Amino acid sequence: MDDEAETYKLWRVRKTVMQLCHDREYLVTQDELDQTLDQFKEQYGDKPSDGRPSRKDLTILVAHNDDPTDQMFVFFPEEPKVAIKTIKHYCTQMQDENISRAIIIVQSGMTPSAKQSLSDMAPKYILEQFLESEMLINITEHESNESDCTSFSSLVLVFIFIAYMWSSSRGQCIRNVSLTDDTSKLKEHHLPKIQQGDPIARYFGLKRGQFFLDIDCAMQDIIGCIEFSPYALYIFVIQVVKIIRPSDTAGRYISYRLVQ
Amino acid sequence: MIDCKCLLTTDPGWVNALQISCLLGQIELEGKRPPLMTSGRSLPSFKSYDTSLMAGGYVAGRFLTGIRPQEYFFHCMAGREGLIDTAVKTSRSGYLQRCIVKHLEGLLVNYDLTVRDSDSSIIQFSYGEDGLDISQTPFLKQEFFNFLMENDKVNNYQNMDSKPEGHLSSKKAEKIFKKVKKWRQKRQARDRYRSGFVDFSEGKMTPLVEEFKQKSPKDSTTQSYRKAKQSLIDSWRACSDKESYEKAYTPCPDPAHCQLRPNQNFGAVSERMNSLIEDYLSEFPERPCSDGEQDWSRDNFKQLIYQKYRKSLCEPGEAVGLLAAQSIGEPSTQMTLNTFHFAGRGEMNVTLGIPRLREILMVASKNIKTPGMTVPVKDNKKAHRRANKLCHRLSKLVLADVLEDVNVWESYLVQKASSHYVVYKIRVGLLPKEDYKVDVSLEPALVLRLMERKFFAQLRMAIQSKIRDLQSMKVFRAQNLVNNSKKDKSSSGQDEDEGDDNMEDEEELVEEEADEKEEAEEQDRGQITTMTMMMMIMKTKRTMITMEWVMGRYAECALHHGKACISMTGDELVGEKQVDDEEEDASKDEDRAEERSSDGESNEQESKQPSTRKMLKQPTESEGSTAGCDASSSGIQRCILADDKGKKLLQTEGVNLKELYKYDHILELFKMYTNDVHAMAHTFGIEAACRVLVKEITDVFNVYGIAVDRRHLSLIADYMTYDGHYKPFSRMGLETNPSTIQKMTFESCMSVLRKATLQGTQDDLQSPSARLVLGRVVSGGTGCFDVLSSMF
Repeated sequence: MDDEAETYKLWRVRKTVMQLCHDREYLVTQDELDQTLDQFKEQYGDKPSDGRPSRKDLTILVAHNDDPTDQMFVFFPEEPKVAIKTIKHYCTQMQDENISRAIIIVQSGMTPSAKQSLSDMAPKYILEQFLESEMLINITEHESNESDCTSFSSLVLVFIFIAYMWSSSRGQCIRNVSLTDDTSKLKEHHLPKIQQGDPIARYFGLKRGQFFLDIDCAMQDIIGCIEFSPYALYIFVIQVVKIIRPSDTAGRYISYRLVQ
Repeated sequence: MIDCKCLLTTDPGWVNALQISCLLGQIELEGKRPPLMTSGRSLPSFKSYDTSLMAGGYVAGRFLTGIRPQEYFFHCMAGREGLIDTAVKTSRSGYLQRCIVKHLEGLLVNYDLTVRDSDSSIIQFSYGEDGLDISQTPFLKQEFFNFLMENDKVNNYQNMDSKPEGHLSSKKAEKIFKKVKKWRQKRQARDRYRSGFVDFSEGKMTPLVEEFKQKSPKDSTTQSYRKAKQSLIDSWRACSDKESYEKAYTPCPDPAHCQLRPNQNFGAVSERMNSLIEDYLSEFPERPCSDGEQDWSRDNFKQLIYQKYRKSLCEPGEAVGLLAAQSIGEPSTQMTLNTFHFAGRGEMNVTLGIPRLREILMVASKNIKTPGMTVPVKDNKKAHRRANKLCHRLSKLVLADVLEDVNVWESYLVQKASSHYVVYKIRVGLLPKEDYKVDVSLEPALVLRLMERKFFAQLRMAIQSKIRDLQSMKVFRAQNLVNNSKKDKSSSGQDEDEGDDNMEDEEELVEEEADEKEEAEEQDRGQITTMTMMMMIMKTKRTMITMEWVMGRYAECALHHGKACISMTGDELVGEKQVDDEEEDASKDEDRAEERSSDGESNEQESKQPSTRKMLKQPTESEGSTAGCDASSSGIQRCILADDKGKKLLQTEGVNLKELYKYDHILELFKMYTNDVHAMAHTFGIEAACRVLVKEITDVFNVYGIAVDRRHLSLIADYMTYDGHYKPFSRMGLETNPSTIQKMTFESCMSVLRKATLQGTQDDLQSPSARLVLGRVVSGGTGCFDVLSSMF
């Protein structure tokens, strides 16, 4: 592939990655989001074949808006098929900088052992992989994923706790959307589901429900709103996607899907 | 008289009028003209192979003046076909309906207005997305607002003059409407990728990077960039008016009917309803209704509509699942024509009717019969021009498109007593470039190269496998012969045999070289410059088959003279049988005969192959010819540009969404659409798939002029995607259902029962099937509540 096409591709991928980070509420600056192809060339060069830019130069580090300790790397490995050696290398880098999340944008795939290693590290280090080809466009911009009237991201992450359900940052209760006062009528498994491997769930980095023994500080303010039974030893955190659907009958309709 | 008849007949009146007063037209049987009998006649009263219109089933007569006996007979044939069709189709559509019913039987509207299955899993948060009962909706339209106002007294609504209080206050809802309105006015044209920090960082990055560069000039750009960003983030965290930045990016408030329950909160109408009211009011700013005795103020009018809306809400206990199933099942009995349909410019095939419904609903098949994609082309001239090229590039080119003729010559060649050859010469003639350059952007040189690389190899494989098949049939006999003739050979003789073979191998090679030379000489006479030779030697235990083909002068000439033509002097199939005994001469002959027949077949393959196997794929320009041959655009068979009301649409046969990602400068990728629900779910997520489902079912019915209410379809789509993947209305789809009895009453009763027994499954008797089996009241309708009376 010639340099022009390769640069163009890298620029598009990087742009989508930036948007992804932004949608996950990581801090991304305005000129990172709106970078034009020319600016990209200026900053990184336009000869990928000579290593200008090499994929290594594209590595991104972003910090979360709410939680300064939550940082995320985005790696662009050089080799087309990523082997376990590269993963290890990234892992040590993450250890050095004390970062627990990373996204790896692979060119054509991963060896099975490398894939295995990702899931082995799962609770402590969360590494997600995306293909370059699927990051060429941002799937959340597709018309079927975008709500009609707003340009705001159609999907909002909502945390649900087993006792009560609260939305992530604003403490808004989704109970009144759906249910009577008797909250026990809605159990989390009654909600419609979304698969963990669904493109949208992958885009937002959603995981299926899991138990947390200690509650990390990012969630502290939400948990503060809930009366905990003193017997609660751990907490079960479920991620739910809120879907704002443009609707022919209702104008806008809101639905939720539980990550499974 | 005709006019009367025309007025009386309700259905498509013009067809009847046409048949009465003009003509009946062509009779169709299974989409074709009436078939011919073995005698070559369509009816005994015609001559054999009569080409006249009437013999082909064209009825030029009309009912008014009468039709001829033959015409009448044809007409009856068509009528009978219709009858058979209905008789056969009822079972199809009946089964379809049963499948949907068995899945959706438990779906009820609950008291919290959610639609839930019998295991209380939520299918929809409000029925049909707005919670309205479909039979009540016709009057909730703008054109009926006047009517509602005029008939206010009949409807016996409350007296609107007194201020509504308590539960009739629409304050809460109206507050939300106002909020949403305000939000929209403020942030109508807002970029999606904006947030507090993005605004904060605007314009600050470049100076910061410069600053850091000056501070430590040794750093690379990326390093100083990273430092600059870190300092920016630090200042953001320290920033005191963070909230004022973020305030501008609060999300849009949820619609009122999602925040408040419409049956408890007066005025919590859907946003669409609200906008209808607003539109109506803006049309009549002073008095919503001019006539009528009552004086309608804006507020009173709103109250009236809110009241009507609330009355029209779907009642709890309504078996909406069954309603949806019947609303799909009933119209599907009307769908008779069920084969193919040409959409767009009459070039794309689409499966329709019951088969398509089965595909979408009952099978949820991964390999649908007619997959396709539709992408709008960007609206500028450059894109339009490029789209044409792209269209050529994406379409698969079949060898048959550039093929002029194929000739095969067969001859014998006996060199030694023991070696017999059947020599086949195959000549493939290609069309000159002028003939196909309109449709295809491909150079003759490339065609030749691809033929050489791909087609010959595949042809060789085909011939080989054919020969192998034939040989495996002869193995038995050959082995017997070996046993008879070579008794003296030990068990290790096989190795020797192989050694022999190797020897022969060499001999063969020499022979071939000779052949080659001969051919070279031949070709020298014809002034050739290059010769490409490929060789394949296949060895089996007893047989040696050598194949070779030569591509020579014509190929080269083609490049110069524009007439592309390949002469394959080669593709000689040289079969050598080494059989010693005289007795086997007969069998040898047979062998040869079989060989010949096999070759005959391979010749057929030859002529068949171009059409069946799609050898030549359109290479992508950038990647050149070598990479172009591989599966870069696999999945896409054909590609056309269609016009849709001035907009250009790129339509493809076959689906490969990711391939199109590359052409973002030509296509509007965010409006990409495919009728393959699985592909959609894999690339854009389950919600997108859900929307495709609704659209696909609507499209199937639309062709027959049938409209099914959106609420039914959205319920069905939501049910099918409930699990996060696309679930069919079949036995497999029912496996996730917790009610064993419901599963048993569907299909394969015993195996479900056995499984349930072994696993000790319980049924909590919530599903209608389970309740009916045990003689309890079904929990739908009036059975959805119990009366609890206090004992004391």
